[in-house]
Amino acid sequence: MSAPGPAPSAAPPAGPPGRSLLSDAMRRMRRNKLAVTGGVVLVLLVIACFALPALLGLDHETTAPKLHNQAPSASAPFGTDNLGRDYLARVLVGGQTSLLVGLIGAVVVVVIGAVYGAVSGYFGGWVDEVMMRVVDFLYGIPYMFLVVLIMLQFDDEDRGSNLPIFVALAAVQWLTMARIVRGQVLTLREREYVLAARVTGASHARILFRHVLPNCMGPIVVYGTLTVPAVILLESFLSYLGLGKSLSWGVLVAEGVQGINPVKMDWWLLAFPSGALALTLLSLNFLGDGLRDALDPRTRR
Amino acid sequence: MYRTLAGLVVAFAVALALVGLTFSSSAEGRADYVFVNGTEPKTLDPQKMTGQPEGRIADAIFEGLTFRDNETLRPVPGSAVSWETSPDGLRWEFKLRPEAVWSNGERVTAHDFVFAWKRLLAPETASEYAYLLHFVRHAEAFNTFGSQAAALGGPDGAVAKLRALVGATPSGLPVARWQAFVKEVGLTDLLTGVADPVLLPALTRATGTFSAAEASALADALEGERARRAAEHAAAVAHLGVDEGVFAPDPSTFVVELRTYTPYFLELTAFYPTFPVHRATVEARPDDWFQPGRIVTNGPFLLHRWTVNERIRLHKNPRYWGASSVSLETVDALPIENSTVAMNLYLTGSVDWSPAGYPQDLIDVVKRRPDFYGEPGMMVYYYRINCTRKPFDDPRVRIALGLAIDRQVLVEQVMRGGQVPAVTMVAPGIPAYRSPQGTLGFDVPRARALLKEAGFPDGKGFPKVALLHNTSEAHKKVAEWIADQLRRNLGVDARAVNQEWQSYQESVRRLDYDLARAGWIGDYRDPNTFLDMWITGGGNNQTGWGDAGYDRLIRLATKPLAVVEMPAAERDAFLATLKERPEAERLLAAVAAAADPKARLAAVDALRLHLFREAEAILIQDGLPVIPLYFYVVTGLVHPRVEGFHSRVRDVDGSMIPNLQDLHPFRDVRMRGPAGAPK
Repeated sequence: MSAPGPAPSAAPPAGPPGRSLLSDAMRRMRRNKLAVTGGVVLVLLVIACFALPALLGLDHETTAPKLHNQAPSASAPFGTDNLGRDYLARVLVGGQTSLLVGLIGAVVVVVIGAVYGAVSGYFGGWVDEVMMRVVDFLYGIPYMFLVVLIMLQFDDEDRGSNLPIFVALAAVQWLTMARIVRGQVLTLREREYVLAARVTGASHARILFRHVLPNCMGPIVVYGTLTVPAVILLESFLSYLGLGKSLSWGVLVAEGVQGINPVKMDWWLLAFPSGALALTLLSLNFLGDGLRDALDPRTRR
Repeated sequence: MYRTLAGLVVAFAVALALVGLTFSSSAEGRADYVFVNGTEPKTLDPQKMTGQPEGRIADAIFEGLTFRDNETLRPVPGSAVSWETSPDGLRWEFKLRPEAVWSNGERVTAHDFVFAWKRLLAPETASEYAYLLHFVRHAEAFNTFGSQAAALGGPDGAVAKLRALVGATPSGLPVARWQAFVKEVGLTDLLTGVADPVLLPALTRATGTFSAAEASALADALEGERARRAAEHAAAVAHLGVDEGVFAPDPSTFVVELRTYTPYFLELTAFYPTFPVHRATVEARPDDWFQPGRIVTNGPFLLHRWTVNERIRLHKNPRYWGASSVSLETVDALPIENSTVAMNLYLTGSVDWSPAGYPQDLIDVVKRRPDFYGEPGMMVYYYRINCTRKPFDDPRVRIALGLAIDRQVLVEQVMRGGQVPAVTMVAPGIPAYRSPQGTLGFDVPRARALLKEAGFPDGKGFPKVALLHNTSEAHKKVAEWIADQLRRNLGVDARAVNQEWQSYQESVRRLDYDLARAGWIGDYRDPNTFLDMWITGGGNNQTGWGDAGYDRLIRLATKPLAVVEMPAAERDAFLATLKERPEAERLLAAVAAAADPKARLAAVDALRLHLFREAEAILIQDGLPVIPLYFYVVTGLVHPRVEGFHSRVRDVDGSMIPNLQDLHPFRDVRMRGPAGAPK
């Protein structure tokens, strides 16, 4: 049994030669069918959303009111919406927003949360006290309220851009990440290799970023992957409430719901964007689960 | 085993019964007549309310001098039993109905009407509808002149500031400095309706310099205007409600004196801002006197319960003078904004009348139902253009935008509900009024040419246009379609931007928009209701547009006799500014030739309508601060068991006309058969 997670500056690895932490993880990952499928589906979705509209020359804005609310057919595989716009193009372009929001949101969350949590955990003492009380305080504010408040701050200049939603989502999502990383760092900073680094005279910044944080990579990556769907979902929810400013899956679902009623069923308006949303979220969750299992094998037991 | 099962069943049944009991004891059951009322009313104070949801409740619980007859919608005797007019149509004497009483048993007297009308006009009431009565003698002075005179006078007032400015520029006052001063003190708002020969042209002058003499004449004229307003305000305070304007010589006589002949005056006596209120009740709790239990009313129904976001429950008023002809015992008004919810309630039989209560996209299916009604309405759907923002300050740009939208496609393929394309602002259905020729047909080459002339060939260099609309699926759909039209036809990059209702109103009011969607519902059947809002600085203008010629025509239309009485030279100069001078001359001759007072009134009214026509021509041919798109249709779903519900009504000449404002007084509605899902 090999000791998990030896640091570069620690003693040479005890396991067989040529098996780094990463290659170990990759091997475990490949064995997980669900996670691999999730990853493949996700890649396909990303390619479809970002490349297909340009490749096929799809236009999501040109209206053709005469051809409104058409069911899926050969000429319009996803049907058309209430202004006769091609729904395939709208779902794909909407996906660009949702996926971008998810990705950028997660990156921002990881950066803010990891650095904040690491600093807090590493220094400990009153620094930790103050920094964590701030997190607690922010937790106490209903996040919906905070998001709406932040989004209202951007009005005229950035209308239609995704900037307000990035800022708002990142502002409420990093708290959990900060707590997780702090917990990890609290145990890691007592490790011998940290002591060794300190003895050799390494600066705090070097210890933190070269020795401590790389060893938290497991939880950070895992939680980061799980943040993507959370952010996408939150964006969809905000769009559903009418706070989203541009075209996204959330906006399309909100519109599509109007098409389902006792008088008439325009099922494609709801089915395609919510299907795409569900597929993305499922893939991300499987991928996140797989990553967790691969990077942190102890949790499997 | 079986015993346990039986015990369980019994326990479950008891629990269910208890739950049922809890719910049934809190509800009162279904009312005789239930309708969807749109948004929650903000207030039930007739002098402070605006909007249809409020109006429907006010019409049920209050009664003005007249009320609208259900089959004709013409005013018929209500709290007033009869009235007489003077031959010139300026003095109206109403005799109040002796048996009309308030819900607390007191008699409805002329003093109640004097109190309510003065309250509508009092500046501290801040009623948005105060201007409706400005044609009443002293009314405008009472309503606005006091605060205007105060802002003009005094050591910090506009007059003092202008004198200081004139003193500081001995070599002449540059017009740019003067216009900056006008903007700083908000002079256009302080001088509403100004007719002064020095001030009026100065307000719209754009270039040059006032000589020192002209500048001091300007200051003198401003001081004169201040003095006039102060004096008229003092006279109004002394006399309005006492012995002039509106007053009550005795408790059963109510006299109204008009400044100018107003053909639609009687119609306004059935409109809620003029409804009487019970003085003691209002004065006891000025801000919430209209809550159930406190409110005192005089209409066919009583306000029984008002549960916010649930319902307003009305009961029949047994003390109402016409109670014997009221059939409904209870009425429920449901504050439901979501059209899908409204439709579901209607389809399950929980609601009898659902005005516009279906998602707009379902119009194709809904309009084939037998219980659907749709008639042209006196409402126009349009976009405001922010004329203070570049490049929309250029009329060529505004006209180009208006020409690039295919209204035929909009009504036939996007809206699909029988709307009528609009190229004018005044909606059809106004007696004897013909709008001028609109110049806004769908003409892409001309639109492109105009845009090129304005410096934007093929839309190059044109800034991004935001089409502001309040949050609603229907408005969003239109905005996105227009964005596509502008993109496709002009090469202008446009996109729809939504804001919820409050912030949308605020943005429009602050002129913080490019183009903004709007709708206007005519309050009475006269072009004035669509046109007087566009005067310079008018409260509902909100485009920053202003035109001195337009203002003058609207002002003259409120007193057309002024045209007849103008000195020949002045009249000639005025006629020369008109687009259809021969017609105006013909009408003037008809006034001069009128033999008796009645014929003269009719001739003056024809002249008045022509002045409106000239004004509208300026609005939709030259200025174009707005892009009219279509005239609404009034649509809704009404259960077949509802009787006395007329989507078309009989006009004065016997012909059938649409029920333009979707008014269906509950007083005359009857139910045939029980409630249930409509077939």
